[in-house]
Amino acid sequence: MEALYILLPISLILGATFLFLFILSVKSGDLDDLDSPAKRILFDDIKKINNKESMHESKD
Amino acid sequence: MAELSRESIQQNTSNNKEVSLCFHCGLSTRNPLQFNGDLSKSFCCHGCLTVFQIIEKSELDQYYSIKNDSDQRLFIPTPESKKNFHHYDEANFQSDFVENIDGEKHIKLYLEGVHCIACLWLIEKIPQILKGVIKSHFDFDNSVVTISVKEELALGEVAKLLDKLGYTPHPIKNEDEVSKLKANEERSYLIKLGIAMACMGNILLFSISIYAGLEGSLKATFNWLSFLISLPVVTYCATPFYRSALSSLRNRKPNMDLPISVALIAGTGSGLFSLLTNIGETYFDSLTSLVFLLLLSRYCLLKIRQRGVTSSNLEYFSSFGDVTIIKSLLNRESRSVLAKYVSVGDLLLISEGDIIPADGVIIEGNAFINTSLLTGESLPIKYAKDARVLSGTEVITGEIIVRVNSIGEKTKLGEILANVKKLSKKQTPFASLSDKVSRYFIVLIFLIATLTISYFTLIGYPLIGISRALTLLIVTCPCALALATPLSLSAAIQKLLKVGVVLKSEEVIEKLNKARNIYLDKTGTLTEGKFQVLELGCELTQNFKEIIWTLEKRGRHPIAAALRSYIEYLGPTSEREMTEWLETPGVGVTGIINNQKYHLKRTPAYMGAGTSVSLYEEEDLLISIVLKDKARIDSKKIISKLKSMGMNPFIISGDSKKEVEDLALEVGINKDQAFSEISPEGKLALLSKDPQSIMIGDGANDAMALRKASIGIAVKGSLDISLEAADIYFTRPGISSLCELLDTSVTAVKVIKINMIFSLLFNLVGSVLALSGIITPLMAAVLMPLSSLSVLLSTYLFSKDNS
Repeated sequence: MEALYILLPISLILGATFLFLFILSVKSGDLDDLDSPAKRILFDDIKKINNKESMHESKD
Repeated sequence: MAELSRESIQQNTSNNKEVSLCFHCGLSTRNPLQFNGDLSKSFCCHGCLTVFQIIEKSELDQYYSIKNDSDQRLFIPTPESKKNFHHYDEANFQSDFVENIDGEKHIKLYLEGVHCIACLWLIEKIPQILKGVIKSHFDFDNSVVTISVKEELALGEVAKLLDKLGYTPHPIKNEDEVSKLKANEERSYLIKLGIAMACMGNILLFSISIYAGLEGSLKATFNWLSFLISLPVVTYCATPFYRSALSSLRNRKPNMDLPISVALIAGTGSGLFSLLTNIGETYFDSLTSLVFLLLLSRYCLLKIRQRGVTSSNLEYFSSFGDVTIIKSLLNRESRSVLAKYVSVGDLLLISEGDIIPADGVIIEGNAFINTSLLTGESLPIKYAKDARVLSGTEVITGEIIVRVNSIGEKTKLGEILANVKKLSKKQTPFASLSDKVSRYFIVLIFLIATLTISYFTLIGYPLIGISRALTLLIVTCPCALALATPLSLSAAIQKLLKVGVVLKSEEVIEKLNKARNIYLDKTGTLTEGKFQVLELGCELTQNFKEIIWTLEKRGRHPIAAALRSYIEYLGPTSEREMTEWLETPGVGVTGIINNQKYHLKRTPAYMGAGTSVSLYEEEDLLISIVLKDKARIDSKKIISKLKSMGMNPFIISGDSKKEVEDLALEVGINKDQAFSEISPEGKLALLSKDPQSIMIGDGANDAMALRKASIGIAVKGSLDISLEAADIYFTRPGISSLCELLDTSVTAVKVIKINMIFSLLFNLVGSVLALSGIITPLMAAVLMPLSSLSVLLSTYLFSKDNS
């Protein structure tokens, strides 16, 4: 049970660290627009596929 | 910039009227344009073709594959635009809208016409199209693009490109204080939510072991730790509830934040008491869960609400754009500025299709001006030198130079606007049903809670009393009740936005359910608002077409414009040699083609309303054409649908009796429900007599009635003043969205009622369980948000079912 007295502070500090990071990211505006980035991901995928295709072609 | 290379564009002139789909916008067309003889790609108009050329030249064809993958149902051809946007680089514009950081210019633009993710992709590829653009970042939800460009690039070029691509740009004031505050508020909400969640999670971990039967010094440690961790939640995260509870006390209108605040404070107090005395229970787990779940549901609500374009966004739809100011009459040097920077004494060059931005006097030229937005008169009136023109009227044909006499509030339009603002909007304070119900409900709950504590104190168990009262306060918190209304309304607003209806406030949805009488303006609302060919005396042969085209090529009368656009619509027509062309105002035009003298002149209308023109070869009548401000294609259908919904449509117009009655007959409105020759004041008086009514119109002459009506709706093409006065704005032409609007409002109110009944039942059962001690505060804290969640779910399901 004594381990708890070490583990508890560690868990709390870890939790507090992540909370702090979360607050930082909110303040810097990372979470202001949640929809457009989600859509942007789609385009990047298409581009990669194109790149891969062109790479394949150049190898051939 | 891709210029239109006319020679490489072929119009399919053959007579096979096969329908093909526009490669760019998907609209079907019978006269497709082709580019470089590529038969696989046809376009419906030059606008769409231009966009395609820009896209192809910049090697962004991927746009079309993204577009096909995305769900795109709207077919809107890209309008061809000739605006130059030079005013974007004027000093006064720059100081208002542009931000300079490290030699880069930043501007925010609201874009009209964005419909799918392919647009998002294309807009963010602008740096690839236009050299000098550093970054283009598009916020899809708000339709706002933030563009950074190098110092040397003119912002006008960026705006021009966007406009050419089919996205009409509207500048947004840089770093608007209000939007900054809004963003900050949202961020602080998110931070509170994050903190509450982290604290709740940690406390729940401790409570599990306590519920599992932990005893001794560890239990005390865990309890104290829970208390410490809960402090930021009850002090910082819960501030929105305290603030709202305090203001509700000040206004003597108890709201749902009051019981929450009391429960939080009492819970923390009694928890601390039990910690110190080691008697009774602590409720830190219940309290933090309560705060977290409440914040979560409110954050969801905030997010959902933000999606709806609200009144603050309406200013982007201003009908005045830029105008051309002439510096000197001698060398015609001119520059373009935004209409709001026009000052008294400026000379404005106003050409076809422009809206006059200020009151003034014509000093050169003449024009036909459509004053319908101001006066309701449907026919354009000719204005010549020295005539006074009014702000808000539109030049149909011709070009004039106007010296500005008065601007802003001093114009006729400004006066009307001032009068409209004076009219009080609300005849009776409108309190939504849920507000009323939850107010009584809260008072009742407090009463029961106090009675419970008194009773248990009297019989000697004050701690049980506090626990049960706390459970009661938590479980009956009328969140679901309070959520039900805004959620259903927000769902309705979002749905309406998709069909082109912008609501200024949510309460109109509840009001729409009560209105039965609909007053419709005629010109521009039920009708197209411009001359169109209604019928032909006989078949319009290619020969006649070419003669009329040649005669009217330079015609300035609105009829000429109507004939031109009609012939253009039929297909390409070649111009013939002509001599001795003469336009006689009020009579018609004459000209000699192939040694034959042709007249095209106005003749008395032979049947019904409208204007008739006839083409004569020498003295022989070749063809008669009837032109009219036609009713919109869908007007009749919508009127009959409105009737079947139990609505009672009226026409209310400033036009002549004959015109109005003809239209009434055409769209299927009873003759005695068509009011003609009504002045703006008359409209106002009519609407005052009928307080539960809907008014639909577009012009300044409707503005007062729009304001007075229970619900005022401004249609597309309305003047700013009508937008200001109305509660609802249709972004699609005509009244096509009206049925959707009514349907949605009926559904929304139904959902509100279902949700309210459900949450009242839930609360009833909850209170019985709480008072009899069957559930603990923690269970209550979990159950209560569950009811909110179920309301969320039912709103979603019901709103979806009916779409």
